[in-house]
Amino acid sequence: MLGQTIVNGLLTGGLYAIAAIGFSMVWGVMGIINMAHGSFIMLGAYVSYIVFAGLGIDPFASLPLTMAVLFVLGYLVQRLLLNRLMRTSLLLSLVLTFGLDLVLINLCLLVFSADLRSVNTAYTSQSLALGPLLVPIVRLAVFLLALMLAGGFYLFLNRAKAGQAILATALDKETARLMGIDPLKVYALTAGAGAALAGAAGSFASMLYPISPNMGLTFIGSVFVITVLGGIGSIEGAVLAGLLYGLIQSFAASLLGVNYEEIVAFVMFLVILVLRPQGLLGKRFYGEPV
Amino acid sequence: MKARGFARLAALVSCGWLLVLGALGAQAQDVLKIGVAVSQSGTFVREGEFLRDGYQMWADSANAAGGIKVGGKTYKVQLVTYDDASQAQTSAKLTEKLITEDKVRFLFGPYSSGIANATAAISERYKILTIAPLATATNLFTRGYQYFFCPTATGNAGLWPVLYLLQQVTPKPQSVAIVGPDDLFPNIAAEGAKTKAEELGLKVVYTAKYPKGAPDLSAVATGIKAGNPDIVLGSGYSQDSILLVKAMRELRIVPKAIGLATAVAVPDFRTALGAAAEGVMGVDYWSPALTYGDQYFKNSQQFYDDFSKKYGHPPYYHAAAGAAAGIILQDAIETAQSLDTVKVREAMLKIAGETFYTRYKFNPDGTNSVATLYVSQILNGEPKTVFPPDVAQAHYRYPATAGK
Amino acid sequence: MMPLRLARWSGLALALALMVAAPLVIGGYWLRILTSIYMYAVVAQGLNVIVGFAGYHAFGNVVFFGLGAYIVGVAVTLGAPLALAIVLAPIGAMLAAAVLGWPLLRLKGHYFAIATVALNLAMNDLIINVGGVTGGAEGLPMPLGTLAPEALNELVYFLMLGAMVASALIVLWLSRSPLGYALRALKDSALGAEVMGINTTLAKTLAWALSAGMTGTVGGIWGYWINFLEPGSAFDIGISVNGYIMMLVGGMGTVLGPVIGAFFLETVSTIIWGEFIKVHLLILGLLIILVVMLLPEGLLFHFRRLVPRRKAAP
Repeated sequence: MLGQTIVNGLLTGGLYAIAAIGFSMVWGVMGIINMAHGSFIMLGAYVSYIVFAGLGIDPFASLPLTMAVLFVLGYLVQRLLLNRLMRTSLLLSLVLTFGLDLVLINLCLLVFSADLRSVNTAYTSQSLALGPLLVPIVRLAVFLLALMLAGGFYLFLNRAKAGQAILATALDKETARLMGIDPLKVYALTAGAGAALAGAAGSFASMLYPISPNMGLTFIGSVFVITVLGGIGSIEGAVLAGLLYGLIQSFAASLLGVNYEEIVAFVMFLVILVLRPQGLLGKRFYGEPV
Repeated sequence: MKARGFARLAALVSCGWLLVLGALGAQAQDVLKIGVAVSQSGTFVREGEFLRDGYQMWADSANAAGGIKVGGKTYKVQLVTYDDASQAQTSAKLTEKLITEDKVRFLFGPYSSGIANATAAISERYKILTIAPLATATNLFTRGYQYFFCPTATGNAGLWPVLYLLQQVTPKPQSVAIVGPDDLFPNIAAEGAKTKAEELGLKVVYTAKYPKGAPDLSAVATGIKAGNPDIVLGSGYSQDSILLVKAMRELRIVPKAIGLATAVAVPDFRTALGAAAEGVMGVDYWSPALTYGDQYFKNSQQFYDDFSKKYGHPPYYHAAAGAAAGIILQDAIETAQSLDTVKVREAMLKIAGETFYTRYKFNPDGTNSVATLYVSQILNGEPKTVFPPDVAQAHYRYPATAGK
Repeated sequence: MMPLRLARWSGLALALALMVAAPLVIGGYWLRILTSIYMYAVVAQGLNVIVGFAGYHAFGNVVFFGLGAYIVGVAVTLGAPLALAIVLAPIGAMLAAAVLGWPLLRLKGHYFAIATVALNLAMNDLIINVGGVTGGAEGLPMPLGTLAPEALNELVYFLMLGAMVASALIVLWLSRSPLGYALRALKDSALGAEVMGINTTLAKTLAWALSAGMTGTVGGIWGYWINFLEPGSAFDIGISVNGYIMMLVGGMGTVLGPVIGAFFLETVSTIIWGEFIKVHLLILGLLIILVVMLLPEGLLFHFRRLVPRRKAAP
């Protein structure tokens, strides 16, 4: 049972990690806490579902499409709404994205109704047997893809010009501007990327969890904790923290009882905030107006 | 002057405010207003709408038959509906509005027991009779409320029918795991199931309460696997039941039977799980195969057909319960030959009869002493009633190994 | 021409008189609406103290609301008289704020905001896990009591009205007191404030305790009012979000801003809820977006700009 607990925790952690990376980056680069991130995940799930139900395309295959759609959404939201707020109070962004979250959820309720849906492929719920351990295939694939996406994004940030522009703007907006980088464009790009990653998480989630307009709410709590745990703005941190979070929840459930898994996570969160607010791998200068 | 202008504005606004409020008056007609407090948005939107449609079905049937005759007058039924957004607070607000503003005579209750708890307190204070056909949490009936009734079996019996059915199979199952979300109705159903299971000689090898919105139940599944039970009982709702079944399949847990408290009757459960739902049993509150009848529906099949024709989709137990609530209320009113709440309440305690949905005879605490529950099993993709034998549409399958 | 002060005070007195007289004229539902408005006004004032004055965005301030509600709920269920319970609520909340403030107020900006949200969720889960006398996840049904509904509604109405007036007076006092100046100083620059000799830790903690006390009081009254407590409702983050928006809309850092914000937003909410059943949350969301985009400084600010002032703001 110990082994299974570890497997469960790691695999779930992978999904959590990819759900959190986009959120963490947006917060780190722009200082914006996107309360609608959960809705982006939800929308990613619906896009995957629609493509699957309508065209029969597997969510893994339609992943690029889902990410593209969400990228556009994130980009537009930033460009049209949030960029304006960058000049006033950043904390207003919390309120605005909260309102946006309400709008998105209720729009989906209107369009899709609250009926639960799911993506069931031929290999859903199948698992590989590795000795005494069972590794569900979908979760394993999600885990691997999540790591690949995270790695890809990391490389993008550190090697590609656009990515480096993002990092530069996060470090020092004014100097970046002096170097010819338009911060507003960078913000929009970052928001788009963050939404795209959320969309990927949603796509994965569509195969694992029932899809409904409220599903984002189940993720947003863990996303917060993982972001802070890993360090705001740090991709490696988010991945590490995601895995750690999955493991901690898994162990808490197994040792203390399933109903404790949430409260353990929150207490952990508070402890981290107090003892080491920059998280495991975070850096102080990211996104934090002192 | 800034301050003067401000003061003037404040005064103006306050006066205008009071004028608007004063101008709202209730209009009285030969109409029987019944308040409907259901969720039309939020978590319980689907169940709330099914329920509301059921109430409306009765109201329309009653009006089509000429209305309700009380003391020489004929009343047209009018339902006044507000959305509680699946929030107890809002429901309390709207209950108060229905009673004091819209001046409804009676109330039809919400789907959620948690919400019903909040509204029952208010309707009880105002002494307005409420029939809440799906608010089955036992604690609603232990508080000494006089004006709160529910024709459906109470929550603690929520999983008993599955246990009764499993008493009849051979070889008899020996062990059971009971899991569910940490919430009002599921807790009551799980507790009731545990007590009954132990009473019937089953060994309860694992229990777990998971957080209500938990996105992941692999930990629960791991625990179930370790206990290796013959039966798994789930006391939760559609969403988490889907997760539970999936998680168990991922870990290749194949109990001899899976019994769920609410999910099987709801089609989402089947469509979301596909083939994995095959063989899953669940407690059902109603079946179109029932043969009870009343003045509007000679049996459940007729209700099924009439409803499907009217609303374009088949009814589930919520709608049936809603319509039945109306029929029962009508019986009480016509027996009392009065709209006075005290008289109607006395009538509620006297009447006994049947609706297509259930027979009824109420205990003083508001519960229905002759309520029954059924077990459905998903066979070849469709839920079929399998228990009790006299209403079974098909024979149950045991062990109910879901297709791999 | 009436002196500024007198005109302003008499206007307020008139409004207050109307509010006190309201139960004679209106009943049931509308009284309930007004009561809700007063409750939110206090929540908004609580936020005003910690956010508007001290600059600590306590998004999860509803934790004190829920705490107050449960303190009253448990106390009344155990047989305590209402008066005692309602006094215990703010005391408990203030103690909690003092204790929790010690570690949490060291955090800045977003971190503090998120920490309060996590705190709220943790408290929610704590109540659920403690169970027992709190009722846990199943909720706590309180004894019905013997008051007729009209009398009960009026009692709660006046309690909430009293709380609103008291909280406004407290904020008024705060805006003129050394503590208030200390808070505004540390909001501008914590380092600068320290240099000037202000004990910022003490000031912040007092502010949060004050905020908690106000919020806990109305939470307690609400608990008694609603008669059935559920952790999800008592610790509903929507309450502090609403309060936050009301504070923003009305104008933070002012005395009457939160009150105005509460009146405005709650009225609009209720009208929308009544008229647009299916889409009211959607409209609310859109409204929130609009408010943030167009009126970030608050109604009072724009109000004041419309009417020229005689002297400069203090």
